[in-house]
Amino acid sequence: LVALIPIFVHQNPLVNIGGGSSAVLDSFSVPEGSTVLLSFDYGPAYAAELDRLAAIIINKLTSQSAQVLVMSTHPLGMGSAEHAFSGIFPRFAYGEHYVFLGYLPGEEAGLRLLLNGLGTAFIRDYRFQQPLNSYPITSRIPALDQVDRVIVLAESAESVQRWVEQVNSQTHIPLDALVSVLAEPQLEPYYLSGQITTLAGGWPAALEYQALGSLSKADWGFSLGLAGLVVLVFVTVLVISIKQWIIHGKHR
Amino acid sequence: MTFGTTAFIGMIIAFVLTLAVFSRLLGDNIVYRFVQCLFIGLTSGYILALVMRTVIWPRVLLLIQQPMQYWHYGVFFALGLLLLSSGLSRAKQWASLPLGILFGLGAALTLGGALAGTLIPQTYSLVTSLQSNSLRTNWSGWLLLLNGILVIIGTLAVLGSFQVALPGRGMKVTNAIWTFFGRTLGRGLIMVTLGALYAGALVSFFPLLVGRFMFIRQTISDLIHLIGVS
Repeated sequence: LVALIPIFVHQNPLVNIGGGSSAVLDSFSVPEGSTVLLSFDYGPAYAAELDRLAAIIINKLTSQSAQVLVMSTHPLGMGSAEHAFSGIFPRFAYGEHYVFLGYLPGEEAGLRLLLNGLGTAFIRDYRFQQPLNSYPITSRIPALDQVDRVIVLAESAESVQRWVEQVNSQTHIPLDALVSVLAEPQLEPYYLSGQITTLAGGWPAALEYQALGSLSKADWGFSLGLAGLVVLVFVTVLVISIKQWIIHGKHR
Repeated sequence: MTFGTTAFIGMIIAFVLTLAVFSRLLGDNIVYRFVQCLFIGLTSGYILALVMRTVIWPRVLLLIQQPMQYWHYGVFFALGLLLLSSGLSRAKQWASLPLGILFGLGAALTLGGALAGTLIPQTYSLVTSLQSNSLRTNWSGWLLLLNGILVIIGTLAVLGSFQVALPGRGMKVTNAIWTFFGRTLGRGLIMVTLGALYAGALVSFFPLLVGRFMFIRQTISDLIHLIGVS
């Protein structure tokens, strides 16, 4: 029932505009013309939460004319990538500004293979199945250490942990993690130690960032719905606990 | 709003499947079980098609076109085929080789990555954050020290909660301390952690639920509009 609130609600004062996550996203930037490896490590189950962050990051990358190599270590991740890139404006040309490298299987072994070169891990591009060296962007960047930044959009902390352990520990390329709310606390130690440069969690970060501009009606109601859920769960647990306490007292 | 035929069919299918999943609220039923099987089969088929198209087939082509340069792909494919023999009762032992390589390689990469990527950097970060300079200059150093002490106490308490045997019968004070530290504090911390993880999971899945409600509302609105226009 609480999840129905966003359909009807117009305003909500509970979104923390200017909170920590929004400051992190706001300061996130790459130099003009940088090469970024963007990994979509989430499937449709977490799309509602992470698509917002993906849209923010893609807007930032396109506005700074970054060259983007898109991949995924999640079997359903390339579908999420296709969906996220479907709305970009035409001047961001496939092959010139971005390429879909594809799905990289094998988890730890796959990421280690990435260290040997993009052409070793990916034979052809995902969208048109053409050799990678036929695109200007990938013919200029044969090795991973020529990438300026790695950005991982992940549903689980284990996925980002693999990137830190297998890639970041070997190359020290700056790694940014945009993750689900569930995964964010588990990655805090990596962020505090400096192994992850940027850490932002799910829809609260996206909502806070978007609130610096303007929010849609659904976004406002969305966060109010979550607050309502928290209150509902708390009240339910309280009522059950009091009821059990009263019953237990009567039996004594 | 105008629709292409494909988009319209896709929207209707998604709408029906969403309602079929929500039918579980009424109790276990055949519609929900059918959709559950459909999703599992669809996901498995999609992943198989994706791996065949983007991972295996390009490498098969390379092996055929340039066998001298890519002969190692032949070895990998042979090991993969040996793995299939695990389903045959007479040839099960042949699957041991590729399984051994898989487990050995996985363990080596996981251990090596954990050492180089987690254990050493995290320990180094903890030690350097406790430098005497930071303790002298401001409160943040002392807060880090307190944080580190709490982490150590919490880790030892949780590890102690899995201890089965107590130190010794005659050591009453030690037993009492160990019982409190391990079984009370440790288990309490585990329960709090599980509760936090569960709360995080609820928060993560809430947007999905809201998204589905918004989709249902939008679809009904679009259908009413289409019927009105026609």
